[in-house]
Amino acid sequence: MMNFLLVAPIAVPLATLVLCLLFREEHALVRRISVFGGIVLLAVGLALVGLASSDVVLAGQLGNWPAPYGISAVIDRLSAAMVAITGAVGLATIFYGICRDGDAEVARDFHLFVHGLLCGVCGAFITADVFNLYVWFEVLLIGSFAMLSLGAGRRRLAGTMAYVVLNLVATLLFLLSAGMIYSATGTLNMGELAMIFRSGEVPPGSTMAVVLMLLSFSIKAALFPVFGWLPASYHVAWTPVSALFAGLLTKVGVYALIRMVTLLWPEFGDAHVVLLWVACATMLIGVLGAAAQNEVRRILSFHIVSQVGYMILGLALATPLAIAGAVFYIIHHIIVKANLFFVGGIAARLTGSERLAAMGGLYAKWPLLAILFAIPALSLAGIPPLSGFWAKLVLVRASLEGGFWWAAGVALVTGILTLLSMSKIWNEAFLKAHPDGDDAVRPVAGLRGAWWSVSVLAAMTVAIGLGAGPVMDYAIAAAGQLAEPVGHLGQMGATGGQ
Amino acid sequence: MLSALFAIALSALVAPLFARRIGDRAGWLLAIAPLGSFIWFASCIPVVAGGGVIIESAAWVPALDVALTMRLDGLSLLFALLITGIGTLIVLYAGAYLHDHHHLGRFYAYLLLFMMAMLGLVVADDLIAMFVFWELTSVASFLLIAFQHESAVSRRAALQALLITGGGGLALLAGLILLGVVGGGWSFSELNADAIGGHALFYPIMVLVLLGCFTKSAQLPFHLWLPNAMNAPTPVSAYLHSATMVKAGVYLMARLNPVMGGDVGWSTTLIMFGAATAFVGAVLAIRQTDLKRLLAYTTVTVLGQLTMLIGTNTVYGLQAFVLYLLAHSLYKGALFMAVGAIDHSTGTRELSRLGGLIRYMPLTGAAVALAALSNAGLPPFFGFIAKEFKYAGLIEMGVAGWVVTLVMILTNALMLTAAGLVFIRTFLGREGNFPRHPHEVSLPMWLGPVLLAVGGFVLGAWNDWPEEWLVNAAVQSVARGEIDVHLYLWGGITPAVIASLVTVALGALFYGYRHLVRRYIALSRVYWNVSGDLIWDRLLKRLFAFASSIAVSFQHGSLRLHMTMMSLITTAVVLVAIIVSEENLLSGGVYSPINLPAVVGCVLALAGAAAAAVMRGRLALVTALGASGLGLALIFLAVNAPDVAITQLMVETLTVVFLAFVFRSMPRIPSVGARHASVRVFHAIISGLFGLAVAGALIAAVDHELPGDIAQWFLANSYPGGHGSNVVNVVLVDFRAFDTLGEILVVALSALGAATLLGGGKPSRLTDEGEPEFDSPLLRVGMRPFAIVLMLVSLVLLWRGHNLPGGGFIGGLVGAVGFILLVLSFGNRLARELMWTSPPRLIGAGLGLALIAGLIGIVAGEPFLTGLWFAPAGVKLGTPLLFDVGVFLTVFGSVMHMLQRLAGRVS
Amino acid sequence: MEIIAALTVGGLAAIGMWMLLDRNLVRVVLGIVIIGNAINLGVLTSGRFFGETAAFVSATHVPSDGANPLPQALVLTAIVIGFGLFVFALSVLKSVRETHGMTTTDFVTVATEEAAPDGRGDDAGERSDASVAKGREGPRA
Repeated sequence: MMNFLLVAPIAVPLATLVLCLLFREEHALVRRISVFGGIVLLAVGLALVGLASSDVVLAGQLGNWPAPYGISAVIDRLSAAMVAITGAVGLATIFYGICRDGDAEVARDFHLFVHGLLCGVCGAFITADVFNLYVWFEVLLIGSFAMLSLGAGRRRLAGTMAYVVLNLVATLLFLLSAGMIYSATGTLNMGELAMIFRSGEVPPGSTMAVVLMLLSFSIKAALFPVFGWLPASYHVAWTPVSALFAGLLTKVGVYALIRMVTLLWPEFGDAHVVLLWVACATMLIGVLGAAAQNEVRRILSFHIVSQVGYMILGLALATPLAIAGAVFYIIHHIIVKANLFFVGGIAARLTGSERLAAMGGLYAKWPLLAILFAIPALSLAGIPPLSGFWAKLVLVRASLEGGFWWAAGVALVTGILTLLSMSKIWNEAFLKAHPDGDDAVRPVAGLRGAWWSVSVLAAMTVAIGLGAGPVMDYAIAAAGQLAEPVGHLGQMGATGGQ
Repeated sequence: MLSALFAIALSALVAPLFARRIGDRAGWLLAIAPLGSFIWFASCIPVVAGGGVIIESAAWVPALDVALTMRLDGLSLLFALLITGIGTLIVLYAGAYLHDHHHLGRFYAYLLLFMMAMLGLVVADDLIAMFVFWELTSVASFLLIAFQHESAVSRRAALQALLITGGGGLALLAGLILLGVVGGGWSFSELNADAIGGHALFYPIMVLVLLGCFTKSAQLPFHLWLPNAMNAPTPVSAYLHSATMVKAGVYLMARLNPVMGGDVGWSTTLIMFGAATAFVGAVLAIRQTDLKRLLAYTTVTVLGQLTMLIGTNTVYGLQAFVLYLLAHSLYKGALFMAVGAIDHSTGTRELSRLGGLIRYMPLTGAAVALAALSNAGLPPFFGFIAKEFKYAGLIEMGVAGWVVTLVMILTNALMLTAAGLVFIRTFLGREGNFPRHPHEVSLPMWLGPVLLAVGGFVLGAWNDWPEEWLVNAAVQSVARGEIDVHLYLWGGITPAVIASLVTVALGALFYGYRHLVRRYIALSRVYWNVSGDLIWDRLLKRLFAFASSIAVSFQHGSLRLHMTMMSLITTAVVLVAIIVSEENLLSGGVYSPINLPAVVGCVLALAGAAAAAVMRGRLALVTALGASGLGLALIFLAVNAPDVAITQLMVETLTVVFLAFVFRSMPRIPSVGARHASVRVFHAIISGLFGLAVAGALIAAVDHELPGDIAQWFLANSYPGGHGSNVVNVVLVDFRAFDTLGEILVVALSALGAATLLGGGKPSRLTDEGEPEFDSPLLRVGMRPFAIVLMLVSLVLLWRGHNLPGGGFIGGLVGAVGFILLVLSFGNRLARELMWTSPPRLIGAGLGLALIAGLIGIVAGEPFLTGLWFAPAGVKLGTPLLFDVGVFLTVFGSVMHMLQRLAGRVS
Repeated sequence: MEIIAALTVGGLAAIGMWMLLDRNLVRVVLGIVIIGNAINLGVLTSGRFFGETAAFVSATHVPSDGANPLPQALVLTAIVIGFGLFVFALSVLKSVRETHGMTTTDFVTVATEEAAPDGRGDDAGERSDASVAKGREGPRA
């Protein structure tokens, strides 16, 4: 059973994908399979979280070959949480994607690619092997390519082109660095890498290799100054697609950064100082960029950048509390950000535009949507008692305790600027009367699944906010595991990595 | 207390429902929760007055020492009574005031949400919990100010209030965190005054906390949001923006006075800002003609005076603080509600149009009269005692106190004038010209003002009762030490009394010559016109301009600029890494000997690539690319990597074929590189540096002996463990099969993605007769056997792959190439005949087989992808082979799928 | 040999980057191939070239001088992955060209910064809107 749970995060989406392929002619059946697959993945994620919170670290050797020769897989608290959130957001995306009008082919293939992408994302979360991580990055990358280009229009194709080219270069850097890491250290196993780097005497060339790898992760995570590809592409995709991207993709990069940095450099060092500056720059630039936008999804896209900065801030501070803050922030952010894109999509369809100037009247006509927007928006700005507040509180407190008052200042200023740009959407799209009169705001067909998705995600945001206690405990324990990666080291120790 | 909070929150949730069901009578139902809470708090008076505190606590986020700890002492109790008491009246009042409004339910929800937050704020003992409620009040106030959301003015005012108070809130958060860290506890009652007093961080903490308090309580220079907030419906102005929320900042200062008040900096800051705010507020108040704005500015004045009084930290000063707090909440609440009533019944709030209202609105008038007298600080009203003690408290401080006292005399005189304007000008004198014919308002609308105003009178006249039950306990919790509280209306001829007399005289004078006063103030308009609003607007504009300047520098959308950025960053990072990690390149590590064929391959690869970089013709491009790929294959072959070489060859072939298909529809490539030579040079430099960086990094990585024993281990275990002679293949399908699983998924997804992108299920443009390029009988004749052979070879390759060069990939690719040749020469018909199923199904089957091959291991109780072998009739079979078949099918199907789409035209 | 290989990698990477910076999308896509080849060679180099014979073993004989099989396997994987990604890039190029007749990167610059198209239809059907920048085109759906 444990053997299965260890690989279930990739086996479930893969199986779903296979079934969808075999029955691809019957669209209705494909939809059912897809939904079912999503539910199972979520269930797997919850089971993993259940195991993890009783401090079970799933770890194993795929193909039953000892580390570092075979590929290790490890699911600790962080991985489990990521898988669970992935399942939740994935399911929400699937639901949102179901109820739609338009090209049936696109609708069908959407389900194929969702599960392909989820497979890649989960693979990245469970693997403990550098090259294997590269492979799963490629899987989620090609999945994202396909999804981004769904229903290719003019803007969408252009955005896809930019996204494809820039991300390919980033992945090639990763491939190169993976080769270099093997060349320098003679291993690809994260556990053994951790042992080598923690032992102090680092073989020549390996630092360089790792730095190159971290750079490629930073590009994936859209850190300053290499985030350009994100605002160039996210706003052109089909709503559920951009929501899924916004929620998950950059966070895989962040996850990889957290994983590698905590494995290799558990103590605060030069790398952390660099990260600290990068994090602050990312927060500010991102939020300023957002304030300047005039379309819902463009605003939200820039916000992704700025909030990735928060997570990296937690990573950079490197104290247990700070890491816990980063973990909490990821969990909170994925839900909230995906939800905001969903709500933005609904709003755009109700008002007939996603340009703020051409929107309005939602507050009067759709109070429910207003609430469903206000919850994630306020949470994003860190307004208590919603989930974002706790994440911000922990990070600010960690920075102040660490004596980095300027980092705390940046985090707080970013908070108020976030509030500013969120209130921009609120004032323009919701409070303001619709330019064509509020009667121009009228219901459209095929949004039932969408309403479900946003309501459930909003409920989760509130739940995490009011019941922050358990989540915070989980995050802090996860930070503890990151500092002491028993799973990764265990694979080496248990099987005596010669 | 928790239950009170819960009850109010609950009624906030159900408010919209009630309002929809029973309309404006919902108010009576919704008032139950506040009223009940008021009664409960009132029942706590004896305990608290006896010096006791009531504590309730519930865990929230133990990991951060955050708990919902509620602590009811004198100060909290006083506030709690005001909030719930006035709140009850307001809820009733609002029902009547907005009785025909279609969003009444929403309004109630926000109002009660605010009430809950405000109540939580004043009873919370936990720093963080207090902050949570603090922010909630800001949000509620935002929602309420923007209640008339169609009006741009309201939206602007709401946003302004939110940003100013919110910004202050962030500073406050930082301050509270530092306070908790320094003060050694996360609740007000645990804070250690001595630890904080002398600490190096004292002033940072003070500044941060005061930023929060000043923004919330509209102290100079943050006062500007409060008058604008008057765009909210009057019940809101009466409740949030005079009686309760704006006093949150004052409350926090009072709450922290015991721990921070010992410092002279604290007192000075509070007194200076407080006095300035009070004076400016009073002067601005006189200038107003709109009753509501006038009251708003007097509120600013009062908030300033309260701040100042905390700063005095004198016996009388602190008593005055509590008295004034109580008095003001009573009369100002009454006045606002009354103004709302006037607005409601006459349809205007303009002083110039009002007058003689007493005939029509006797009850409201009476209430206003009482409230105004208290406001003016005349005996025997509560306001009078407050004023007396204020002067006494200031004078206690000595010379500095005297100076401030003079300012305060002036301020209070102006206040008295304002009070005169509110009552005399509005209710007495000749009849104004009202837009609507005035009438007395309904019970819920006059009940509030009357109760509050009478309260102000009673408390003042029989002042030993409030002294014993309310003021004493409150003062004790504000003071740093014991303070003996004794209220009196007449304490003999004290300096304070004289000051009062001067004030009254001056005030009467001002009212008499109010036009003159106004003119004088008008003369110095230049000063008063430095309205914060203009600055505010300019500030926002600047901010947005800056933001967009940032945005455009990253949002140019230019692919080439992004690419330039990325390559420069990469180069920089690598160089920095080389320098920092002190890699010494070419440290003379051991290298393998020069391998001539490989060198030739390198040259070929480079030459081909270079050609591809500059060629213009489409065919030339493809050829050059192919040459480069061949060179690579040659290298691979030369360094004993046959499988890689074959794969490279096959991939190269397919690449060329696909390019040929796509380029048919492409125009000739006009230019090489950028238009301008300078840019081309720039790009060349960038690329060159990038290349150097990559090469350097790689050299740094290979410049020493390869550590680890993985290679040897693979060689040693391939046959015994993996039952295969071709180690590379064994690695692919067994040792590292998990990589391969992901890899075939990539191939499959790219094929499906390309297919979807290129027009889903639309038929490709391949004719049934095959491609013209292959339209020669000779070719056809030659092609058929060759292709068939290739197909067979592919199967052989698949089978023997485990032991000799080959395997799933190579097999699949070779098979695909063969099939492509067939299709090219014989067209789709043959393809359809040969293909017994659609490529996607093949892909699905392939992926499925690979997955099953992995899962078999799990069924057998082993980890995923564990190789299981069995030998029926001497033929060695195993799950890795099954896996390899999956790979074969996936690759084959994918390539077929790609071909069908790429060869076709986008529909 | 490793040095020469590394330099070749650098050269190919430089050429590839130059092509990625080209105005013409065709060359950009080819640049992806070149730079991919470069990196593949780099990964193989990381295993060193000491192997005298290919990595084949038998039950009896394990060559002491067999080539390092791990990087070969990695490169093989990388080649196939790279091929998949290339094909997708190619199909994007094809559809950009054939549906919009554009083949220069300026097209990307212009198009991605256009304002979002209006309309109530599910934006998965963006394919259908020709008048992108022109604001409202009324309800689609």
